[in-house]
Amino acid sequence: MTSVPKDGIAVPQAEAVSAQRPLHARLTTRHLIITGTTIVALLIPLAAPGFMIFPLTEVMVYGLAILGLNLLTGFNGQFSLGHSAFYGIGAYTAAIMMHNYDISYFWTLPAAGAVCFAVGFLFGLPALRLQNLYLALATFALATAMPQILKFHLLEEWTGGVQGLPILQPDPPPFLPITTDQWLYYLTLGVILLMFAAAANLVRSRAGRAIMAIRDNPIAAAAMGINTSLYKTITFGVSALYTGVAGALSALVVGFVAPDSFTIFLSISLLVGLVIGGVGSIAGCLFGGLFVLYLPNIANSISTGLSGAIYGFILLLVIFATPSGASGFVRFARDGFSAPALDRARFLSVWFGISTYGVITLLIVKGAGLGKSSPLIFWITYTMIILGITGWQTIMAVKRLSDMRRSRWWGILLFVPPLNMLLLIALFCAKTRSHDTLTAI
Amino acid sequence: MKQLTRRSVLAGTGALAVTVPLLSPRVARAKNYGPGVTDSEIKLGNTGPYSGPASSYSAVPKSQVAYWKMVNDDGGINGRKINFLSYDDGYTPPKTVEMVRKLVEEDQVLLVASPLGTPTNSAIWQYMNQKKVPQLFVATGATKWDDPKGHPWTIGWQPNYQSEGRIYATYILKEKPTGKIGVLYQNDDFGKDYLKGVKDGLGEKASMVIVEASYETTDPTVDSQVVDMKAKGVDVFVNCAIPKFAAQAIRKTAEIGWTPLHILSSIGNSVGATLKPAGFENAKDIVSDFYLKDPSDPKWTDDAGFKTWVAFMDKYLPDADKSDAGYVAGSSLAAMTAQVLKQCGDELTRENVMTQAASLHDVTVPMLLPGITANTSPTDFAPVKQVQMAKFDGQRWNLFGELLKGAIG
Repeated sequence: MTSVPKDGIAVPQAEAVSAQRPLHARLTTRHLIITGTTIVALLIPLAAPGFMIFPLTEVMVYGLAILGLNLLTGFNGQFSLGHSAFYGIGAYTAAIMMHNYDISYFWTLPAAGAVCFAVGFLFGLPALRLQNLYLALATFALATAMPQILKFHLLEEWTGGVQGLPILQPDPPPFLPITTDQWLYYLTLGVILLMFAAAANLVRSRAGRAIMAIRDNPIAAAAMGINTSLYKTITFGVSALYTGVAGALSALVVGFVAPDSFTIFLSISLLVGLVIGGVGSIAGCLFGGLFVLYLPNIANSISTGLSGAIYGFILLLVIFATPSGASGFVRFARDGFSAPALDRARFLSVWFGISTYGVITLLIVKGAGLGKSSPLIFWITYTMIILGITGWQTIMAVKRLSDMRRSRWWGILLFVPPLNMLLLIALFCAKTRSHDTLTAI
Repeated sequence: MKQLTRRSVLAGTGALAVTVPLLSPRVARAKNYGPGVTDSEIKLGNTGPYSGPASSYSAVPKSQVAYWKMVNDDGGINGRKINFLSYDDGYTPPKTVEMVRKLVEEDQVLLVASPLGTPTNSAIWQYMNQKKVPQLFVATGATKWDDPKGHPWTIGWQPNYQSEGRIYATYILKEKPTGKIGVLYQNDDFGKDYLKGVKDGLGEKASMVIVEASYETTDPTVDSQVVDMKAKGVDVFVNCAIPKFAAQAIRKTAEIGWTPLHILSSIGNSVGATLKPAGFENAKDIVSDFYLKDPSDPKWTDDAGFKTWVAFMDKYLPDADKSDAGYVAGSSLAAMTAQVLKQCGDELTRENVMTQAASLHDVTVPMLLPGITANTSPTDFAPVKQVQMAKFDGQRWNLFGELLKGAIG
């Protein structure tokens, strides 16, 4: 977007000499969403209280860690249960630099990235010989070993042993009138924007295609002249780098590191986030982060004693509703809309998926605590989300009615509680008659 | 254009979903009330491991929740109901930080009562003291909580592991002044605290400790450590292990026909969790220390405090296993917090909570052993310091001797 022609916006019907198309033609939905989300993300901390900024910062940190795992698993097809170890190494690199050597927090991020890249690369070398489940097992060993290595008495001088290390959280630069929470949020936001953009570029580059070719068919990739071992180890290193930077950020955000924060459970959480967000999707990682952070809270708010069971239940529900993760679901729903007709199977799955995500979003918003601190805005947000969900559902129903060659006005039944169930059943059961391209409204 | 309209709708919906809008400024509080207090309610916060690797400790927060329910049914404290918010932190420090921040900043609790776990409490230690919010009676026995100067908003509760270690040392010096000591400890905070306590207690005779054997919680057994101790001629075995490993060690000791003076730390002296699996006949003559009443000991059947506790358990936690010491600890912690709130009267500020918590004089709660009381002062943030030794007779623990105190100087 940097090379926008000067007249791009002012005169859309430009003189038609520029080789480039005008701005509005080059803008895609993707750009709009990214820009919109970034603007909202920039505004949030100015309005939200500190205790809400903190978990959102953690969401971004987890999202970054999940992206690391995704580069390896989603794009390169190598399994890892060991990413908690890289996360831990990143966190400890930052903590040791700051606690023991008084180095500015700013340098801890590249250092953590570099250390983790090296560790990941070295670990990737023997991992070359291992495939699929065996690699998962080897990385599992790494994850189980990590907390104990951090507790090891010879390293205690640096790692603080079981007691962990406290970190002085960085103050915002003096010229910025913001709190530490806000500063950490913006720092994290900046880092993830940079790293997400880098990842997006990576997977679209020649190297990215090589990485994915190895995933899809290693033998064919090798036959095409791709150095599979080099790419695999480098991907391992880059993946560890991403997760390590996330770890360093988490150390800054939490202000404390302890070996027990980096157990195998963390690896599994990251894997859950990866699958929920969408394997092989970059934006989906952030959704995965959201899920990883808030789902336990939701489960706990429903029942403290049964939180584990409820967590499992919601997980099953989400996997069932959207088997290809959030990003896969978005694609699926979009294809449904652009297809000539919304067939009934797709109609039901999209409906089910939107409802599931809608309810989870509502629970997250409810659990995030707006209700108590500013009820008015909470209700506005709440209502808007509900309107958003019902809006989508109405659009779907109307499109489906058109495909059934029924009057679209039947859609009004959606808003009449006992009858809307009947309508839904009718929408699902009826035959699709139309195959014209119909855009609902 | 049609495309663009739909897309902008999509973008708009996406943006809304992430929007977390403005917060209205908070209202100023009445003068003698801290945050979370009204004429009819006191809001308290708590975190505990309801899920995750340490979820077996969830009895502690659960019994606190039940205890406050009882307090409310009895009319509350000075006419105020207690709103006890207990959140799951899964025993992971980052989650504890998240939950405690929610409690302090969103829920606006008066204080955070007895969060459980050493790493979890360490993670919020600095925060609580920066924010000046009482971190009252933490449910962990690490020694560092007794730091009124550096961390005036954090106060411990149970006898800390180091002072227990000292008590064992004193006992050993009296019983077997020429013994060769072997210590089995968990390779983490509490294990190392015990070891340090034993050595400090021995003072110049610290060389009596000839074997220091550690284990990891993930180890399958501690058999080799036990065999090794016997081989090296150890005749005083200090067993500072959690129930699973303590039981293994007791069983192995009997198997190899080794009969040292066997001291079992309070962390692993539960009859139900340790001695039963180890076999009562193998556990005969083991010595340990207590500060709470052992709920499985029939001796307390007629004890007034024990009866109160059983009545509480029957009514509020009817399905719970009464031999789980977690329920004893949790209800005792809640009872201590209730005592502090009572003392506060109508001046329910965070400052006054700490002042009152630091001026406990001979306070007792139903399940503390007879004679053991909680005492604090502005320079002493370790409420319970006394323990009593007990010997296992093959059926139950028999308390003996005087109350002992292993002060940390």
